[in-house]
Amino acid sequence: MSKEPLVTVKNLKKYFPVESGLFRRRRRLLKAVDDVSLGIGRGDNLALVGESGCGKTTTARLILRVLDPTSGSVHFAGKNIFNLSDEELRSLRPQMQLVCQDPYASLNPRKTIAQILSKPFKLHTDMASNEIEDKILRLLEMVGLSPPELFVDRHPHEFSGGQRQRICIARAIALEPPFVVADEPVSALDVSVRAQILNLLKDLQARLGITYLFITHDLAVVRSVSNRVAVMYLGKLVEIGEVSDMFKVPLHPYTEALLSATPIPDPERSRSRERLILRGDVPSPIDPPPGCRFHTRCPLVVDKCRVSEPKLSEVEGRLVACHLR
Amino acid sequence: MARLLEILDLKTHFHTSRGVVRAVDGVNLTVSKGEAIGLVGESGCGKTMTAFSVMRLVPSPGKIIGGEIWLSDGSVRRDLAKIPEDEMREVRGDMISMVFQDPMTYLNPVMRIYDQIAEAIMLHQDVSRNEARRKAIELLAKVRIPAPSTVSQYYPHELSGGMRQRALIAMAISCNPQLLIADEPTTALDVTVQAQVLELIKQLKREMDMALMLITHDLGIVADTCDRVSVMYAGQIVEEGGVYNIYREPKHPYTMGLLKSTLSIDEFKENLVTIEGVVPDLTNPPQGCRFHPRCPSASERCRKTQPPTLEVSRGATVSCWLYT
Repeated sequence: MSKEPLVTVKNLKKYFPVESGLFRRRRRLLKAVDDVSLGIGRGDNLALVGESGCGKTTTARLILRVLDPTSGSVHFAGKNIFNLSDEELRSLRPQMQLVCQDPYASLNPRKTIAQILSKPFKLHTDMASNEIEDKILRLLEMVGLSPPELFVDRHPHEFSGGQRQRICIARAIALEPPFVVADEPVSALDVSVRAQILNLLKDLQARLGITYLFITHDLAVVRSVSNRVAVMYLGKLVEIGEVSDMFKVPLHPYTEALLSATPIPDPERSRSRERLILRGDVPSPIDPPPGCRFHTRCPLVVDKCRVSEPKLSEVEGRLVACHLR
Repeated sequence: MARLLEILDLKTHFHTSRGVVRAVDGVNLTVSKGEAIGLVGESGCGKTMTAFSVMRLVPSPGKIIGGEIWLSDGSVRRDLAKIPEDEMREVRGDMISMVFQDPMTYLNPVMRIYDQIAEAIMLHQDVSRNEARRKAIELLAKVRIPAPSTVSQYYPHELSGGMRQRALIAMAISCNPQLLIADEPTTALDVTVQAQVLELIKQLKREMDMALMLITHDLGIVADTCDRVSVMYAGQIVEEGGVYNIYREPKHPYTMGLLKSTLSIDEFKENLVTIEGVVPDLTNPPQGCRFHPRCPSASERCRKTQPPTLEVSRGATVSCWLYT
């Protein structure tokens, strides 16, 4: 599926200064994203996975240019988004949209659904208000809120979490963007509703040809939703490849540990598998461990891992950053 | 196996300005000695309030308004729903203890870890403070905290999420309880740490021969940890049975829907199965079977009359008209 990439990320870095000590004199760097390079092909659904604090959300915010990087570049449809004039940036915005984790926090409680959904059209098009109304009704139907007339004049608090997430999705796809970042879109939802939202996202991808960057910590979701996956650990990518290959044979020990820690909802399969359980917690991204960042928890660690940092290199058709591969 | 806890027709309701919320509405549940039972359901189905009722910790304006909670201790049987508060205080922490989803909320932020654990020990055992502290350090070692004597002097904010949950577990097992209730103990943790904590709970359960009531929305965790499963929906238990049977042959349409809509890392699903609709409002639950508005096999009878609880095989029950 990956033809020419829609998004190309090169050597992206984002460091946040952290001040501590007496009179905040000690300045240290939190390396949230540290030299990340990846490509997202048109029509791909790339999952970015990792545990909390690994830098996946920061990466997404840089790709959306909500944050400015410390260094590195992001090319969107051939243009470096960090070198755009204000005007160019404004015309870029409607092409990349975001669906957030918490549908309760991302809708203005004082506005009606019609007001919320008319905003993208008012900001970026010169449509007449009756045209916008038509569009909104069609959008609501598209995200499974029908009959749409029942929804337009109500406020977000009148809806359930799943319905609100549908409204957020409607807003994101209003201007038919080629690229959508979905940041943990189903983590706040119950199991039975989760599947509904994931189906909707898949369906919209098929109908509108959307390319997704799908951020999640849940590998079970990745298996059925994404075609490619990038695994992050402490600000670095450790493995990128096709979902079907990687879930069958993970090459990086951290990928293996993540898969092995994910529960399988079947007592027979769950109890018969061999599991790799890591020791300890994720270290702090402030002053991360030298060498391979995973070496403090890696069951296969050798001396080299403690001193030299492994580069992402191609192994069996995917990219892995591990000295042992 | 000997029965440890027997909940009969438990009702815990909340009187609010919006009306009466029937959070727990006629729950029957049995836990045998040394057994691990999973209580599963979606948010708002009443699983946490069932646990809080057993602990007699139901927050206001909630109240146990009916039913019995029998706890057996050797030859003594007590109805926890009826005993006076000072007697309950002896049971709580000693016979039954509980760990929660968010350990930071349940740890005192201005007290050192070992003092918090020692406090629990001194409440139930006649030991000196020093002795209790020494035991606290032993417990921290038992929950696999590295360098327990150092860590024991830390304050909660100095610990990671996984460590805090371990400290809370240490406190919970300090008096060798017969039953440990774990309410979403790993939901706030990262997946690799979740695996560690679940492994610890399983090991402790085996070593100490205690029963476990694991409350979760994650069917993967239950599949790996529990012997039996009770599925809750809208304040009631709709199906109960051995873990292998429930996963292989779910009987209740809700259990079937839950299992089908659950995703797994070892299975690609093209079209995800969903349960249509949303969880009902518990101030005004649907007539008849509470699941009927979302049930693909609902009939006229389901809309009118609540189904009875039927024993479908030994130790397995289902509340559904399809099996009458």
